Amino acid sequence: MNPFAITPEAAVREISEFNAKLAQGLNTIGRLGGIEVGTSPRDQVYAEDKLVLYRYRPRTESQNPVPVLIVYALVNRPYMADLEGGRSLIQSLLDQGLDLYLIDWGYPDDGDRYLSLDDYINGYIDRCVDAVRGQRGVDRINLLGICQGGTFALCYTALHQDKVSNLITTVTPVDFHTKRDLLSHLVRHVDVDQCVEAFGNLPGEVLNWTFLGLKPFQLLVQKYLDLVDILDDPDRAANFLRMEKWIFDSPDQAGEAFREFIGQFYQENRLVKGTLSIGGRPVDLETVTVPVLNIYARDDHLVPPDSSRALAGCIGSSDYQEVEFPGGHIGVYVSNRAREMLPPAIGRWLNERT
Amino acid sequence: MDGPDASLGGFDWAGAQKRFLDAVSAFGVAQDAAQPVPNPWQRAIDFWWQGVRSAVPDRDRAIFENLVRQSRAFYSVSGQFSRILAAMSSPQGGQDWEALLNQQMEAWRAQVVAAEDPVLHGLLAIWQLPADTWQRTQALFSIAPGGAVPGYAQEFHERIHVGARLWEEYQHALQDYRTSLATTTVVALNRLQERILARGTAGQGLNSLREIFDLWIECSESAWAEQVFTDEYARRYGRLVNALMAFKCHVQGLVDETLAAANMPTREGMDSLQRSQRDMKRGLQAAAAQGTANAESLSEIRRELESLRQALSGEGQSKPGRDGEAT
Repeated sequence: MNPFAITPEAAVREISEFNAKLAQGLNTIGRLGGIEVGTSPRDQVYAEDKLVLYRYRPRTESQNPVPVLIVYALVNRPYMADLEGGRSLIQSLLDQGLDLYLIDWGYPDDGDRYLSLDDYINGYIDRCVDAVRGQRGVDRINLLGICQGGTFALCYTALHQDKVSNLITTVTPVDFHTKRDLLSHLVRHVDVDQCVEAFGNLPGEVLNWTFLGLKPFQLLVQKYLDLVDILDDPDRAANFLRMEKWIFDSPDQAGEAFREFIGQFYQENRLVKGTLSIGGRPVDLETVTVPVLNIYARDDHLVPPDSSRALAGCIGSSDYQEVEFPGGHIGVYVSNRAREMLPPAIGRWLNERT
Repeated sequence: MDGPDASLGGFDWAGAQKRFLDAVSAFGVAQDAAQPVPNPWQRAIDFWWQGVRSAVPDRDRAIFENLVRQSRAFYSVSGQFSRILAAMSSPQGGQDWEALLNQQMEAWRAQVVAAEDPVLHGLLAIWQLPADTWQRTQALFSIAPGGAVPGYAQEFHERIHVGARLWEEYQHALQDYRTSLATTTVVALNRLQERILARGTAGQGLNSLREIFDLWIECSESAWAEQVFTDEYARRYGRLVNALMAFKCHVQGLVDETLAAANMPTREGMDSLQRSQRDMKRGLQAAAAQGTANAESLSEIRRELESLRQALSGEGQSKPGRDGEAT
């Protein structure tokens, strides 16, 4: 049978309708105005260089007495966890009675080129932890790491466990040499020293293209065709634009930290090999004995589940739990399903350990 | 459709674009199916976008540019199949849809191999320097620095030659990478052809251009996923990135020499400053942390001293006779 059930006239009609939607989209997007993100009320409690530490205003009458510090990745911006009211992981966590702090790394510039992982982990994160401890009058706090921020939080816990009560990692790479780790596979033959020498700070745009290039036809082509289909719905178009804003809001990466992260984690896999040192101090994951909740995404194409789940075999904690989210890397933070599933799981897990 | 948009100067761009594209679309289907012509839908959207682009606020321009760019992929794929549809519906078209499909897919593969596929160009964009980059770089250094210093000009020209070699290596790496992408694209097209034929065998229809486009995306993504996980691809990717970075580093060195000759700040000098600044900052932070720790120790010692004083004083008050005895 001839499968082409399309007449030439129908094809022209389809293209015309597509064009009409595209043109209509210009009007829709024009009318939407500026897209707002990260709108949950919060207060700046500490700042240093480009970094700002925020505390979110509570949404419940009482809170868990141990504050939670969210450590975001250096890649992209943290408002992904707070895209808009009603679609915000931050708000859902606040609704669980958590006292939330978040590190916003800002946008590194040339003056930050020589920021190292030691500066980020033993410097910035440690001073933020101290700021939270000081403000809340507690000895230990909870850490919640997001993606690369989870790897940082894990290293921090290994180095400063006396200041950490519980650790939550979300879509966090731990073993960087698992079979389906495409990013690791891609950078295997890249001379990262030369990249940093050429660029100084690694441009966010290059990193962004690398991520998009992992699924180029879906992420660079089909996505926009799908947008044309929803352009007549201002709400859905606005949601798309928020995500789009986040995707392309890519800070440059401080050169030295990038060199160390790609070289020591992605290329040499030192974290799980036990050969990693940060600031001259060995990072031994076996010394991590605090309770750990490890959340990974089943369909994650950036951080394969195996990479995150490797954590179970590396740490010394006897209180380790995993939660599998049935979705992808970004879905953990922006999907309705994630908001229904993860904040209650996190809130319950922390309350049981407070 | 909404009426004219005031934000675009009150002109009904949407309506004008639709009328224009309707006309051009009709023209497109009427083309001879055997002749590969530039896709009129693509040309039309480009023409339209050139017309409205300047009226679009900066805020929205990037997203719409992406939309327009990726719409071209839809037009491109649709254009390939429109020729089949037009041929099938023509009086001479006959019923041999398989032969028409094979013929069209063969022409498409030839376009890919000849690097004329617009989607392929999009995938390469980030790794492509403008073709005249090296020529412009050479022109920039035609005034060799330190020309008055004997032997220096010769040395500088040697560096220019090294730059030319690095540029050539980058071009080879880019061509190599482009070839691997083209191979993947051809694999995807083969897969698309097989899927369409399988649909025919299974009696399943393709009811819209979009359905065909989505099938093409699916085939392309699966072919891509298989390719990128090979060691060969990782090596080619690494070679391309390394060749580009080596060229950039070399050009930076040349720029630095020129700047130094003009007694201006160089990248190397700025790097040195930034490193020193970071080291100083670390030193300050360490000193501040040490200061805090010292202050805490001092406070602790003071507290201890105070409690000792109080203890001594309390002891003195509770045993007044001892002092008297001692004296």
